[in-house]
Amino acid sequence: MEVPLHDVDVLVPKDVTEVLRLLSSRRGFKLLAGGTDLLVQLRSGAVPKSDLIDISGLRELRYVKRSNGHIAIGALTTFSEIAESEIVKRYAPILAEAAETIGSVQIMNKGTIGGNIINASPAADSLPPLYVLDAELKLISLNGTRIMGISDFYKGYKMLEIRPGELLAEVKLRAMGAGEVGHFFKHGLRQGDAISVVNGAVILDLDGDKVRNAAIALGAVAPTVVRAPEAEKVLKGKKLREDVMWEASRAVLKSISPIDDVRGSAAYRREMSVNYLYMTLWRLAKEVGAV
Amino acid sequence: MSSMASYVGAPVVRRDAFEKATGTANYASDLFPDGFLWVSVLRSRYPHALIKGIDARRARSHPGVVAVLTHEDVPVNRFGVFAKDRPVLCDDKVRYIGDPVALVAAETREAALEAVKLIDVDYEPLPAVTDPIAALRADSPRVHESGNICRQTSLRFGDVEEAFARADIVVEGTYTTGTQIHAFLETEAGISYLDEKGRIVVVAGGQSPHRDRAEIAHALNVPAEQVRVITPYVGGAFGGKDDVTVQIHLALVTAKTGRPARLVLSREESMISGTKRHPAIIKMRTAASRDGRLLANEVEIIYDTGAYAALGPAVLDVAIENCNGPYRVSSARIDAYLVYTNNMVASAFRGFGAPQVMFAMERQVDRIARRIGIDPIELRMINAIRKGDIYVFGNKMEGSVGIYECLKVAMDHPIWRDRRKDGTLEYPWLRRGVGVAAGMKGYTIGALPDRGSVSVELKRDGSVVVGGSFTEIGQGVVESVAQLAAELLKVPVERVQVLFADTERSPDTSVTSASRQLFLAGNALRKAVVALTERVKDLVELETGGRPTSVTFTEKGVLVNSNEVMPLNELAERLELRGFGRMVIGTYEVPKVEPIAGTLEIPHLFFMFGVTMAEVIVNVLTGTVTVPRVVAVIDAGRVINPINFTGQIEGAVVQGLGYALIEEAKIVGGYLQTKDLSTYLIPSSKDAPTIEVIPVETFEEEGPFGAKGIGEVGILSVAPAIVNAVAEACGVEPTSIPLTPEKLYWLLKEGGLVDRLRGNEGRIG
Ligand SMILES: Cc1cc2nc3c(=O)[nH]c(=O)nc-3n(C[C@H](O)[C@H](O)[C@H](O)COP(=O)(O)OP(=O)(O)OC[C@H]3O[C@@H](n4cnc5c(N)ncnc54)[C@H](O)[C@@H]3O)c2cc1C
Repeated sequence: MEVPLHDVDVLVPKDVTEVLRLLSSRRGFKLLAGGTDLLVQLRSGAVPKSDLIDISGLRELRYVKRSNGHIAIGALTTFSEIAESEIVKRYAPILAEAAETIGSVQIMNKGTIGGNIINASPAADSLPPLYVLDAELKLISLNGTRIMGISDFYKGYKMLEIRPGELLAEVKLRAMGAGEVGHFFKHGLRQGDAISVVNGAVILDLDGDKVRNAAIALGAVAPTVVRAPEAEKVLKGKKLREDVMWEASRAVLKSISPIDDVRGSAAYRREMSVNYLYMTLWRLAKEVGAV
Repeated sequence: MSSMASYVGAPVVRRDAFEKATGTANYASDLFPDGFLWVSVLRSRYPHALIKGIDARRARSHPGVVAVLTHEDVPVNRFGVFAKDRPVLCDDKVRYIGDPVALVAAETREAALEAVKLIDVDYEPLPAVTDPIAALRADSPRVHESGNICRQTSLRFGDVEEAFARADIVVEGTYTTGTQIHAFLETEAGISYLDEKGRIVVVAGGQSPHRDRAEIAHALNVPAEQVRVITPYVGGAFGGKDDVTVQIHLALVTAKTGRPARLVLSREESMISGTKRHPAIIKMRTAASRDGRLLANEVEIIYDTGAYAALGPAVLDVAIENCNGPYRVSSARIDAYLVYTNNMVASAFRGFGAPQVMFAMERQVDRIARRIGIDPIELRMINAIRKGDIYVFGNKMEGSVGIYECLKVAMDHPIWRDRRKDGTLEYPWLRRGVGVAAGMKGYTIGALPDRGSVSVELKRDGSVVVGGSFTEIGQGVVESVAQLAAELLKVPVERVQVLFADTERSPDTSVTSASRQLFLAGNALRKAVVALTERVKDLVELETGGRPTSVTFTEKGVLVNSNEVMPLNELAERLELRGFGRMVIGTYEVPKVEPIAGTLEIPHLFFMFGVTMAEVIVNVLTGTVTVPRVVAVIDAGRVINPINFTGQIEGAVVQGLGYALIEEAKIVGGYLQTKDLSTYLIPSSKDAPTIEVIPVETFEEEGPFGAKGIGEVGILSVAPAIVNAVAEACGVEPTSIPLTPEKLYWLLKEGGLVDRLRGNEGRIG
């Protein structure tokens, strides 16, 4: 049953310092960015009611910048902005591809990358690209700044390495190199506005049709997003041939532990993980003329 | 529009288009009467349980609560159109998770929501009856005292045994179709208040104000005159507001408290408590000859009506009547069951029982075509019924029958002609196919009495007011009726005001369902114009002593005896002056024949027909089906408004696509798992195909200007066309919808298609 939210206080601080001060006040505030996860969860009772700090207007946390081989994205940057960013499209195209698939235009306009990261759904679409781009998160509080690699940040299903009083300020990714190609993939149960049944990101560092290095991450098939080292290993040093691509795809099964839920069975998710990895490798192979 | 132009067939823009597009139109959920009480409903926690007691003391003493109502407050606690089997508020038992147990009326929304949680209900859970086949067994727990068979009918026509004996081909299949949820934009909503005379007024989304009024009056045990029902613009209904939803609850609160009340269901509440499309299990054995003639059909139909009958008994009739498709099948054996379970409640949904059987039959026909090696459209043309034919139940097809013409248009369409041309697909794991299916369904309510009235009032400024209880559920009936009035009376359409769906002010045009309303209202309107003509004759006779021989409406006014032209404003003035009154009523009764034994409304005399062709792309490695293109060829009778017509068909195609591929209500042990629009998915704009709508304008002699019903026809053959296309693309034979990616994937894997792509390296387990 719907939870009434009429008695929720919403504070609108003018800058990050004020946010941090409020966050440290022990009043149990929650941060409100685009609200596309939080408001739904408050209304349904999935998240207990609390007062909110509306940070959506903080322009200082809304940017995409490039600095010595890295891309820095402010936590409040929306997915529309990410999808349209020339920097992202050029240096992290797999993230731009993922951003394009987040809900609908309305959700892309409101939803932020910071919200996607902190909400920590295993099916969150921005996460597999962040995993293969070795993202680092910048967490700030009155006590200072912490930088953490994305795979250290998630400890288990919705268990995050974030401390009370901390705000996610920025996500930093490595830029894809000249020999690198990649794609994001997503399996939803309809063409638009669907939550992923399986999603993932693949980066191949190629020397002609030979794989120098591979980075593969999958979502919605384990309590957190996972890398697929076995599959990466199969590819390393090999040519993108049919049998290699299938072998690598099958190896992904060693990295995942899907469950049954309302959107699909574990068995189906296993099949989809294999098949999507294959389809993605095949597309990349095709693009470089290897098949 | 020039004065010579005709309104019938003109693409007149709907009068409600602008206000709806700009958000100023008022729906029931937009209304907040002064000093109203917020109403909240306590719904059952179990799919099936005895109620041992209800303790509402804590809720009653909660601050802000004005009333807590239970079954003890309901004068007559059973309602329903075909069977009064449904409690307004549960007393002895709850029979599904949405069943209402108590109402809270409070000063604030928060108090109402809070107090609902404070009502203590002592339940004794009973085993839930969730499988309709198990429900039919003698030892099954009973949903109702009377047993779990809500209705059962067995019919035999022709010599089925003989037909099977001489058949060259027999195709057999068991088909299952899912529970579809209406998912209208506006949930069930309304307000209520007492008017200055102390009568209860209910303003709510609905499809039949007069019938809703009767249901309210019955439950409250008051004369119908004590109740007024107004149906404003409705944000979608599709049959889901054909039964009473919030109306009795609202009236009850206002009757008990004397205060205005407001009840708008949340999405989740709507999904749980609202009616659904009947999930079905259909077994078919169909016999055909080598040269492609359908000889016999043996059919078992099981429809799960859930906890209550609602409109299920009539839905079952429609299933029976249409399960042989639009074909000259000479013999049939049909056993049909409507079964009670604890799976929520099924009732009316666009197509009203026909889409389920159409899925089964049209899959059968396609499989027969494949067995014979004949073009599936040609096979359908060989068997297509024609006007004047005697159909399998012995009934004569009296109305227009355009299925053959539709099939002909389909056969010549490029989507069909070029269906096997090699288009290159982007990836090796994609398959392309084009499928076809035909559909039929009666419109009007068949052999049941079907009558409706419409009023026409001439204003002294020469404008016209048309009144009727048809409801504007988004389909555009108001504009179409205005166009017919403009055509008949030769006035500009802007000069026609339409007063709709108010039991106090508009005559009873009966239900807005069964694709009947334009046919009914249009014909009643014709009668009203005849009555007006007679009234003019009376007037002229009184004024001049001679009764005119002819009275016709022209752009300049009424032409009497082809010499005197009386402008409408003058006519209105004179009618008023002479005491004739300026209003007339026209009543139309749909022609009907006796129902065949064992049925309620079979046969109809009037049918709609259509053919759907769908192009699909199947991803063999995921089971995902996308539908880039659909062509709908519709026997539309005469199209009154092409914009409304196309809109209805396009909407129906997308709804049919959802039914075929996406919309899956998961119910486990009587509990709905997909309670929101994040888990119960309906097609998004990206799922919608390019849709080409082609009207085949047969002329329906009995219809207004040749028009016939079109509201439901667009959905009938969408699911089988899409699934037939999948079968064509992949060589598998799906028997179950929704054909979700996962369901199709396992079928493809079983068929070896996945492993063929994988080769040795990719093969798993
Ligand atoms: C209809 C619909 C469709 C959707 N489709 C998708 C989809 O396809 N793919 C997908 O991945 N997601 C989808 N989502 C989920 C959601 O839109 C995304 O997760 C989005 O990125 C959340 O961002 P937000 O700004 O709205 O977060 P909010 O809802 O504002 O916040 C989410 C959580 O993060 C916290 N938070 C936000 N910003 C910060 C910060 N800077 N520092 C610390 N904590 C913070 C909040 O306190 C809250 O706990 C969908 C949601 C809806 C309603």
